[in-house]
Amino acid sequence: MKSIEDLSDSLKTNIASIQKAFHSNKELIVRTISPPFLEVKKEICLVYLDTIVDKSVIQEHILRPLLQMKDFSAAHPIHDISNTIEISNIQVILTMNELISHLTNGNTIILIEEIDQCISAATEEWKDRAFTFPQSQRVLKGPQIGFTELAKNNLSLIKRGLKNEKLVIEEQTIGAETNTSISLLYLANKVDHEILETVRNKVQSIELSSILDSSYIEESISGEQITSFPLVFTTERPDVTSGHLLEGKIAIICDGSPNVLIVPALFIQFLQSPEDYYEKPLFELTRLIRIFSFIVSIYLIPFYIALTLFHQELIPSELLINLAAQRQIVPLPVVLEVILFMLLFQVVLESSIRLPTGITLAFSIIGTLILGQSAADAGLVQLASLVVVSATYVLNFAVPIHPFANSVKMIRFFFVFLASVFGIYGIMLGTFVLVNHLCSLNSFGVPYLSPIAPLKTADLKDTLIRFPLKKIINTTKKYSKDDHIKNHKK
Amino acid sequence: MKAKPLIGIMEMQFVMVLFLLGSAIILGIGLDAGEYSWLANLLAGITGLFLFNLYVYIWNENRHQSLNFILIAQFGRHIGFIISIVYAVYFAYIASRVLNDIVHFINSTLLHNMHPFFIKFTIFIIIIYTYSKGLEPFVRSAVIFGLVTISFLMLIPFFIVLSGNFHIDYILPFHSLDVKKIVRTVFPALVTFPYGELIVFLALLPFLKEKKALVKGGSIVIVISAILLSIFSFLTIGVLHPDLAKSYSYPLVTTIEHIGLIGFFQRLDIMAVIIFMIGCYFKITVFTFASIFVAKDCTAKWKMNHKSLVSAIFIVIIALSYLYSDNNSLHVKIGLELVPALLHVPLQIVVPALIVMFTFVRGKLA
Repeated sequence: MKSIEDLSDSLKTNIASIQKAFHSNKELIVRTISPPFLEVKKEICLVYLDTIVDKSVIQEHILRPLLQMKDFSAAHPIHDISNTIEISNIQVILTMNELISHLTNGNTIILIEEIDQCISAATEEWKDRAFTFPQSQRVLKGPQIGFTELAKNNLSLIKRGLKNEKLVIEEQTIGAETNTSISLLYLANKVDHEILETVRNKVQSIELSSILDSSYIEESISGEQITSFPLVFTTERPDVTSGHLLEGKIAIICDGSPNVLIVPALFIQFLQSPEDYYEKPLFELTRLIRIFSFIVSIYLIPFYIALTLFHQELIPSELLINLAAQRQIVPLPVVLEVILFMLLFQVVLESSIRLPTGITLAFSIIGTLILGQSAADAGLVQLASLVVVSATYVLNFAVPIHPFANSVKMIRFFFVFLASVFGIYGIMLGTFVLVNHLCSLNSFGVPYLSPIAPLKTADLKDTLIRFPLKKIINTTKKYSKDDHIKNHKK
Repeated sequence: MKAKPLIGIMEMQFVMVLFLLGSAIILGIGLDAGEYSWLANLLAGITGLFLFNLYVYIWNENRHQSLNFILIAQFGRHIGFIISIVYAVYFAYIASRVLNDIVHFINSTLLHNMHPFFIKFTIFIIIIYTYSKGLEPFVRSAVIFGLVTISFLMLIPFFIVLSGNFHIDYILPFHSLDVKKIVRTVFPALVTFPYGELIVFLALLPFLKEKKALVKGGSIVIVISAILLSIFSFLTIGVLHPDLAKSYSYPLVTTIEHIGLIGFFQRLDIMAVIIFMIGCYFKITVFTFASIFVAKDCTAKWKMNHKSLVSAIFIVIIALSYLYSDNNSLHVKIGLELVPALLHVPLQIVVPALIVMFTFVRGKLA
C-alpha cells in the first residue's frame, strides 16, 4: 500500500504525497521556511491542519525558535531541531501512515530537506464546552461537575478524585473511519483480571468502522444476550466513576462522548444514586422507595386491568361501584383505553424531549390538560385509567438512570397483554418469565442480580439500604463470577 | 453425566423452602387431626428431618453422585436401571399431579370461566421456558420468590390474629389426646407429602457447590418449614373450626378470605394465590428437572438425542396429567389414598431404606 511507505528524503515528494493524501484540502497548511541565521541553507517545512491546532503555540514555540536557530549540523539534524523547538511532547516519525495519523490528531509535522525523518510536535487544541452540571444525573448534595465530550478532560476529572498510582489507563484507537480513541481505566490492585481480559478482547474485536458515541461501544460489547435491560452502566459523573473503579470495575472512556461506560454492571446499581452515599446512612429510605416505585411501575397497570376485568371481588365494594359508574359512560374497553394512553404517554415524552423551549408551555397545556382532563370530562376515557397510567410514569421517573427506566417499557406492554387475557394468573406467569430472564443474565460473567440472586450476604450491606461508610468502603466487594457461564463460553 | 457444581447452598435452601411450603401450606395438610393438627405437623417435621438426613447419608456414602449412579451401584446394573426408570416416571407423574393441582386451583379461585386446557398449556410453556434457561437461573430465582413467599407468610398470621376471626376456644382446652388419630394423619400421608418428596433432591444435589453444608442447611429449612406449617394449621383450625377445616379444598384461602383489614383490604386471599402459584411452579420445575436428569443418566450409554429425550419427558408429563384428573375430587382422592401407598412409601421410604441396609451390610462385610 502506498500510504505505509517510508518518508522520502526529498522535501517536495513528501509534501506532494501529504497533499495527495489529504486531497489538497484547503485546511492543510504547509509553511516552508529557511532559517536566515544558518550557515548552511536548509529548507524546513511545517505542516499542520489549520482548524485543530493552537496557532499561537506554533508561532511562539516552533516558528520563532526555528527562525532564530543558529546551530545546525548535517550530522544529527533531528536532534538539533528537537533542541530548538519549545514543545514538551515531540516524537520522531518515519512512515507516511504515522505522519498522517499525527496530522489528523492535531500535531504539527516538521519536515527537513534531504532527511527521511520528521518531527511531530503536539500542538493540538480541541474545541470543547465548559464543564457543567451532569445533565442526566443531577444530585442535590455532592459534586456538581459532569463529564464533557473531551476524553482528556474526563480523565483529568477522574484522576483528580482518585490520586493513585495504581490507576491504569490503557488507550487504543478503534474505528477505521473515525479513529476514535478509547481508554480503559481500572485500578491494578482491585480489578478482576479475567473480567479485564474479557473486556479488552471485546473492545479490540469491535468491528465498527465508525464510533461516534460511547453507546456504540456499549452495544458492541454487551454481547449476544437478548434483553432490554442495560448490561453496561453509563454515567456522566466523575464521582460515580471513581466509586465504581474503587469497587474493582473497569471504566471505558470514549473520546467525543460525555457518557463513561462502566462494566460489569449489576441490576441493583441502576437503582442506586450517588446521593445515597452523601446522605445519612440506614435511615434514608430513598433507595428502598426507588426500588419499590420501579417494581410498582411495572405492576400497577397490569393489576388494574386484572382487577377490573377478572377479579372484581378483590376491589373494595365502594370503589367497585364508583368504577362501574365511570365505566358506563365510556366507549372503549379498559384494555384498549389503557394501551392507548400508554402509547400516548410515550409520544408525549418523546416529543417533549425534543421540543424547542419556546413551544413547551403550549405543549404542556395541550398535552396534559386537554388530552388528559378534558378527555375524561368529555366521557372519552375513564378517570381511573388516566390516574393509573399517569402514576405509572411518575413512579418510573424515580429510577435514577434513564436507560434503565426505559428498559421496562416493552415489558409493561407484555404484562398488560398477559393481564388482559389471564388476569392475576397471567401476571404471575409474566413474573416467572421476567425473574428467570433476569437471573439468566450476566454482565461480563457476573450474575446480573447479584448480590441478591445468587445471595451474597457480605455484599448486602450496600444493596437495599446503605450501611455506614465504615462498614462498606474498606471491605472489598466480591463480584463473584459465574463459573458456569465462563466455562460454557470457552 | 458429570455434573458441574453451580448451585450455592443458600439458593438450594430457598428452593427447598419453596418446595416444602409452597403448595403444602395452601392445601392445609394434617387438618384431619383436628385440634391437634399443629402437633401432627410437628411430628411429621421430625420424621421428615430424619428422612432427609437419611437421604443425605445415602448421598454422602455414594460419593456425592447422582440418583441413577447410586441406584446402579447399590442394586446392580439391571435392577438399578429399572428402578431409575421408575424414579424418572415417578418424578414426571408427581410433576403432572402438581400441574393438575395448580390448574384446578386457578380454575376454582381465579379464572372460573377459563377452560383448564389453556391454564395447563400456559403454565407448561413457562416450565419449558424455565428448562431452556437451565438449572442455574431457576435456582437463583428461588431467592427472589422465596423472599416474597416468606414475607407473605410472616404477614398472614398477624392479619389473621388481628382480624378477630381467630377463635382460640376452638383449640383450647387440650383434652383427649387422640394419639391414634394423630399417628394416622402423620403416617403415611403427612410424612410423604411434603417431606418424603425431598428425595427428588437426590437428582439435583450433584450440582451443589458446598457439599458439606447440606446437612445443616437442609435441616434448618425443614425445621423452619415444619414450624411454619404447624403455625398455619393451628391458625386455620382456629378460624375454620376443627371439624370443618378438613372439608375445604383450600383451607388457607378460605381462612384468609375471612380477614378484613381496616375496612379497605377486604380480600387478602390474593396473597395465598401468589404463594400457591410460586410453590407449584417450583415443585413442577424441580420434578421436571429431576425427571430429565435421571432419564438422561439412564440413557447416557445409548447416546440419545438430548432434545428428543427432553421432549419425551415433557410429553410424558402432559400425558400423565390427563390420567384420572377430570375433576378435582377424583384427583384429590387418588392423591390421598392411592399415591401415598403405591408410590410415595415404596419410592420415598422403602428404596432408600434398602440402600442404607445394603450400604451397611457391605460396610460390615468389607
